[in-house]
Amino acid sequence: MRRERLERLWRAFGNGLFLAIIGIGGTLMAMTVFPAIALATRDPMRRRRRIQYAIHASFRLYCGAIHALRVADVDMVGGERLRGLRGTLIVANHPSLLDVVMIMSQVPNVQCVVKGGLWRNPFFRLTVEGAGYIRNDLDPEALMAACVDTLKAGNNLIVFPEGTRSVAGQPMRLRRGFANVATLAGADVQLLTITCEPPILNKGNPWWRVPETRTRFKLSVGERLDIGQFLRYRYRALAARKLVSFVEHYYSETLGYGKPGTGAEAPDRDGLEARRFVA
Amino acid sequence: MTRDEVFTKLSGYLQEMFEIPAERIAPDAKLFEDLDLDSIDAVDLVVKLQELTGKKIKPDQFKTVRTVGDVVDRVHDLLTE
Repeated sequence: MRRERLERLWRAFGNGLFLAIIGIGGTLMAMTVFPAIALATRDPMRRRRRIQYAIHASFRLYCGAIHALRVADVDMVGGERLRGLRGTLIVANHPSLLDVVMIMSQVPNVQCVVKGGLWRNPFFRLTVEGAGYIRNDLDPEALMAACVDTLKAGNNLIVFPEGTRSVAGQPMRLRRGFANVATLAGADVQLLTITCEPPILNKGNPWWRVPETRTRFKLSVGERLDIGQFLRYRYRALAARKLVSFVEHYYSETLGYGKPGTGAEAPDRDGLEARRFVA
Repeated sequence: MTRDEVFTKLSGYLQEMFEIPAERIAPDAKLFEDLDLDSIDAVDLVVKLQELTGKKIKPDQFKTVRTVGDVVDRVHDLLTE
């Protein structure tokens, strides 16, 4: 009994600790490591690769530490299949705050869409711009074009097609933007499924309130869709719609939504996401 | 081409390109809200309408277009110009 309470207390402490690490550690790196890389690397493409790699390595260490210190279990299934990706749109459901971190810990060369507000801070700006990330406050056409261009240039891009955090127990409602990007860029789509059970850090649940059992974050690498299969349709618009319904179907199968026993989780855009790389 | 013929053509495109059921396509149906088109779809549709009319369509000619009826009017104008 006492042991269990202690274990739970440790997880609560660990939660706070790791939130602090990403906040403080991220800021420190933005002021030291990333400017150093930027200064030492003049070529923008190499600079981008190096900064992306540094983020990848940090997130890998971060996920490894969460797991090793038993704050939560972090399992990656099939992560090695993400190593050689090029020009691929990485699509995932979005149940937790750790999603981007987990994905980036597995893919060394990847970009994402981040809050435009980060550009106001010169240090964060150096980091996100150096990494080639795309700001979310561009007008919709420019945002779409930026995503298409980066994929065409051979970069990988993470997108959460729900647009906001997943609501557990409800079927995913996908926006069409990701399918427009994939069809316009002619980019293959790598599907990832993320689960986080029992839920943690969700809305109305402060970091010190942890579930009875240790949370298990799991990233499973799923199908890689050949965009050529979809582009066989006579119209691009039709191909995009077929892609959306395929992916919706895929997630309803892999996540088994609609089954009883999954508690509703309200989407939560506060906390980490407000300031960090977590899109 | 009469207005009705333009409408029939347009309705065909909307069904083929965007999987919109025929019964939802009416002159007062709003393209974005009711028929769930997005801005990229609109670009595709304009390209298709250029094929139909054989005329170059400038983006600002379609700026004020909201409904299926608006598109029919604009295309009809182009054809009778």
